[in-house]
Amino acid sequence: MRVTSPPVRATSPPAAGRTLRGRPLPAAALLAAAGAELAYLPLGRPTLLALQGPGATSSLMIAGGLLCVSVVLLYRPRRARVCGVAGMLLGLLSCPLANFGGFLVGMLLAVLGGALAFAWRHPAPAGGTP
Amino acid sequence: MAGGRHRTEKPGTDWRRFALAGTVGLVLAGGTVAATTATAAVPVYFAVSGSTFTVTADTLRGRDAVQYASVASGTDEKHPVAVASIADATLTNLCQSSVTRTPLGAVTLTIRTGENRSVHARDLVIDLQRLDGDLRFKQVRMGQDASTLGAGPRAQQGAYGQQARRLDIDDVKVRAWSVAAATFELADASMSIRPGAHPCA
Repeated sequence: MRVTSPPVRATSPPAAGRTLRGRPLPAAALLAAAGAELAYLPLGRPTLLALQGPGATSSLMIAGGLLCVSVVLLYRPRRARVCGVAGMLLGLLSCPLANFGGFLVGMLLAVLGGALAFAWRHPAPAGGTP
Repeated sequence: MAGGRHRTEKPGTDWRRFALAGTVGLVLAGGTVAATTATAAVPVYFAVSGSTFTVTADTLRGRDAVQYASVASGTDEKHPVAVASIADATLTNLCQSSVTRTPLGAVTLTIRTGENRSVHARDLVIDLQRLDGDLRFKQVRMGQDASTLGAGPRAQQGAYGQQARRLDIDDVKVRAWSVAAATFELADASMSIRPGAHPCA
């Protein structure tokens, strides 16, 4: 893992050993679960992937997007609102593009996770910006 | 962002904002589902239909019907199919069901049309695994080379083929790999998804 940001900032990645307290964990977990569920449907039966054409591909792209959003959310909680909107949009897109949003399960997870992320408040550190 | 605007407090979830965003999201989700299922304009891709689905109808009245054997190729598997192509078909009491295994167990997606409402399809192409019913051919030619038939994709030279000016089937029951059509009008149709395996009888 590359840690290129300045060492001490509220948005820096949590160093090894530090807990993820103060990070939007539930939202990230919901978004990751949505991605996993969407990816499971085509990946659970890999032999049928190419046969099934655009459905599987778009499922995987949306699942990958959701996983990225959840990772960004954990490591850059200041971006929670953008992540929330992105997660929600991906969830909505999964309906026509990814097996009905993983039979609605992944879609609902993504929408709720996105809403949770959107609602995350990450105040500036005391004293404001230096 | 700088100072002042936010009170300095612990990071956390703003539940009022969550309620707002969640409501908006769920409404949008409902709208998306409705738009996706209600109109044929947005194709819904199913990647997992690695199994056949069932279509049943009370009657099928077809014009310019062609059947031949072919192979639907997948990546590893190639399954033999009987391709049935019908230029113009009218069906009554249509029911289509596909059972899919999901992480939450079997799920059945069913599409039904209203009783006594006919379904009309143009340039219908079905990849069949099995068809049951009472068939009536009119002006039929059987044993014709598939590549010389009037219509149909993937027709191979040397394969068995048959064509008929009219094809009527009563009590149709079809197990198919895929159905494609230029237009497929389902009046008064309902689409439902249910847990468990409930194929059309």
